[in-house]
Amino acid sequence: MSKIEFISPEGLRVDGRRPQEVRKINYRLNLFSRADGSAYYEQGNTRVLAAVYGPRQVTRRGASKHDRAIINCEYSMATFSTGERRKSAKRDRRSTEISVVIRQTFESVILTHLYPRTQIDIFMQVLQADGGTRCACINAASLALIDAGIPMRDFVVSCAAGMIDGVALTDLNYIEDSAGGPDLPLAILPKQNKICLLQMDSKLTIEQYEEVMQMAVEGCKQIHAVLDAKLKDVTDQLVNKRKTLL
Amino acid sequence: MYAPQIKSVRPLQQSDKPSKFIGDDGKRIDGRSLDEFRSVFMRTGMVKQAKGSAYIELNNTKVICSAYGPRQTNNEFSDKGMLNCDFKIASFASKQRRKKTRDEDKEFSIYMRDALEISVNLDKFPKSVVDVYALVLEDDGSALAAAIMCGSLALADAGIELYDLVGACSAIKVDSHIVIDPSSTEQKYGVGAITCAHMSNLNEITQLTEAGDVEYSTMVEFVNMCVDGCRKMSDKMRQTLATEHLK
Amino acid sequence: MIKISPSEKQFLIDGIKQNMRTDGRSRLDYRAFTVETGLVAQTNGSARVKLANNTDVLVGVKVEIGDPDPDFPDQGRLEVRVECSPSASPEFEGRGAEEMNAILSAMLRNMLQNARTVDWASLCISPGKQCWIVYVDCLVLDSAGNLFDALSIATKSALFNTKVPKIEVMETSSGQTEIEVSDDPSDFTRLSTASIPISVTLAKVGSRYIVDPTIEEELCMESRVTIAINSKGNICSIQKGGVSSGINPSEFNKMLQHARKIGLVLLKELDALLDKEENNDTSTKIGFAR
Repeated sequence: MSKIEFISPEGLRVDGRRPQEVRKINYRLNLFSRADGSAYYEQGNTRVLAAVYGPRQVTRRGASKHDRAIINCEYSMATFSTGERRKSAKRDRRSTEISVVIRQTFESVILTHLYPRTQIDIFMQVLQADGGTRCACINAASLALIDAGIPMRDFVVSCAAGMIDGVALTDLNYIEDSAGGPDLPLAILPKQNKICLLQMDSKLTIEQYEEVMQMAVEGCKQIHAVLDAKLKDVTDQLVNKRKTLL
Repeated sequence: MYAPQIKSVRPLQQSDKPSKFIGDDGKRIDGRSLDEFRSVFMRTGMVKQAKGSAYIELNNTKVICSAYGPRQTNNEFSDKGMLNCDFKIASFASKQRRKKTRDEDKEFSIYMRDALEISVNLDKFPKSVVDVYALVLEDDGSALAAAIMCGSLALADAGIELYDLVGACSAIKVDSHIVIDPSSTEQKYGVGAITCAHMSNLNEITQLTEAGDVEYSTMVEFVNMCVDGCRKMSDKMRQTLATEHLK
Repeated sequence: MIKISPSEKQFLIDGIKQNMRTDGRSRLDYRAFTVETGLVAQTNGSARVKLANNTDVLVGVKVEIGDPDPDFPDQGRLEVRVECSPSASPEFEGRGAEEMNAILSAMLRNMLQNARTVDWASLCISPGKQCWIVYVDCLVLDSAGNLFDALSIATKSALFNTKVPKIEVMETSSGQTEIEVSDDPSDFTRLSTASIPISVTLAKVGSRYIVDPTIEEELCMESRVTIAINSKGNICSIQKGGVSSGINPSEFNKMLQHARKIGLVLLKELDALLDKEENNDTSTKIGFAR
């Protein structure tokens, strides 16, 4: 039986990256007309869309909160997003779990107290899944919220890290993800240096955990640098457009 | 009271395709001419618990339908009433036990609602909804058409104000002939299955669906034949209502 | 959900009466559309169609080996599924899109499933045992009206783009059939897509009808007729929708004629676009990050 060699003798991963290297990131804001904010985000072969509506009137009666906005999240994967065709796109356990996790992440970041009795919707759609969809969705949602102009405490960036054959790796792709090692999705607020999401469900020694954790934080910081740089460009362009109009 | 006669059920056809759909005498497999309906039986007031109900038989296609309401909706305010249709094919309705295909039922429910809603005077019951439930007990072709007519009769029986009765009719092309009111065999191997619902007094098509590659001229012929068929059926519906309610 | 006021509605209706729609079109003008194929790597074929920049649909086609339909054992199978994403409208969240999904997928299914649009017999592997199942999965991402036509154009484009892997069927000694799928990605066959129709949607507003309604016009229409036309000018499916008015049979015939004329023009336009896409090399594809 041949086992996949996840780390080559030269120290490179299956797709040629170094252990601490995240995949190529590209994104675009404001691509939908009906949503208040939207973003397309790709990280390697993982491609996701996010759309944000709100703050708007609460749709579900009785769910309204008198002192803050409620956040509503829906995560779904397109039936053609995975190698084998998925049976249903919505409402399976995994999607529900991810929706809840992402909602909780953003509840702590969005300044909900500014919009009492309203609702903010975040809808995420995975077009292509190649590992790390949860983190990609958080990044996309964060960008879409910025596009919608919803005030947040900080940028939210997310990145997963794992460990295979004793080597800590950041931003696992599908093959690495299915190797069965630990997987640690992390979302941070980079400027405040705070963690707003951390998940892990496997056994690691404290030393190993710290190593993986460090890897995830590094990943988040790399991603933040890329997102922030481009976002400033986009904002500059918007400002210039406005100037020419005036 | 209606007491259904127990009929000997016609043996079901073999699954393979018959060599000829139209015989040399110009008759179809079951002996009908091209534009002839199967023997039709209609009855209203079958379900005593419902506000209105109807039952239709197109020989082996049997549909029962009941109408309820108007009742209050939970939806937001609307100055017009709503019609809610639910079309179901019983799991024992066809030759092979039918697995749950919610998609098809949902699709036909929408067609049925579109066909009937235009005929209902919705301004008469704002903020409320009328429910129509159709159950296909046996499906030997043209089930949607039967359900639409059955729904229209049930609405009339329930005393809901209607602009007109809705007649419905299916047609299909087999062996380059257009036949009306197709049986399930004809429906399976035919081309261009069309179902049309029509209000004869207003001369308006309320619903029309078609699937299959046919020429434009054939399409025009399809529509004309279906509209004629719908007229015949709505006359029949009117008679049924008159006799049942003047009894 | 988008809503318009009674006066705005009247404005739209009056404009249509005078053959001048809010976006400057006349009643029978179609909006421009763009097609991009081969965007989703994990599919056998995919296409994204944008109608007037704001109706945005993505179709992915996957082919898998499975059991044929017991009614038609010597043919391949088709599964169509349309999913309206909440990015097109917040009311599509959760189960909110079910009705829309059902109408849209029924329209596409009716359009594709009749025997002559695709050579379904060529998708049979071993009669009664195994066949190719063609999954057409559509995603509505954004809506500026007329999802029907956008989906039909995208579906035709995605099927045009679809590559079915070559297979070899072998009989083992025990009489079982074994299928070997070619590993070579350049070893594939194409589907015959020349006779796949596209649809043209007409909306009846007042006593007039318009083609390719915008989302605002869809709110004023009394009924909608979606007619699928193939390259021979034949009619492949019709679906009427809308609930506030019926259509006179003679008027219906006129609508058919118009749809046929417009459909043939659109098909030519689409064929030219698809040929261009086919010869385009992948490096020029921009996809979503445009």
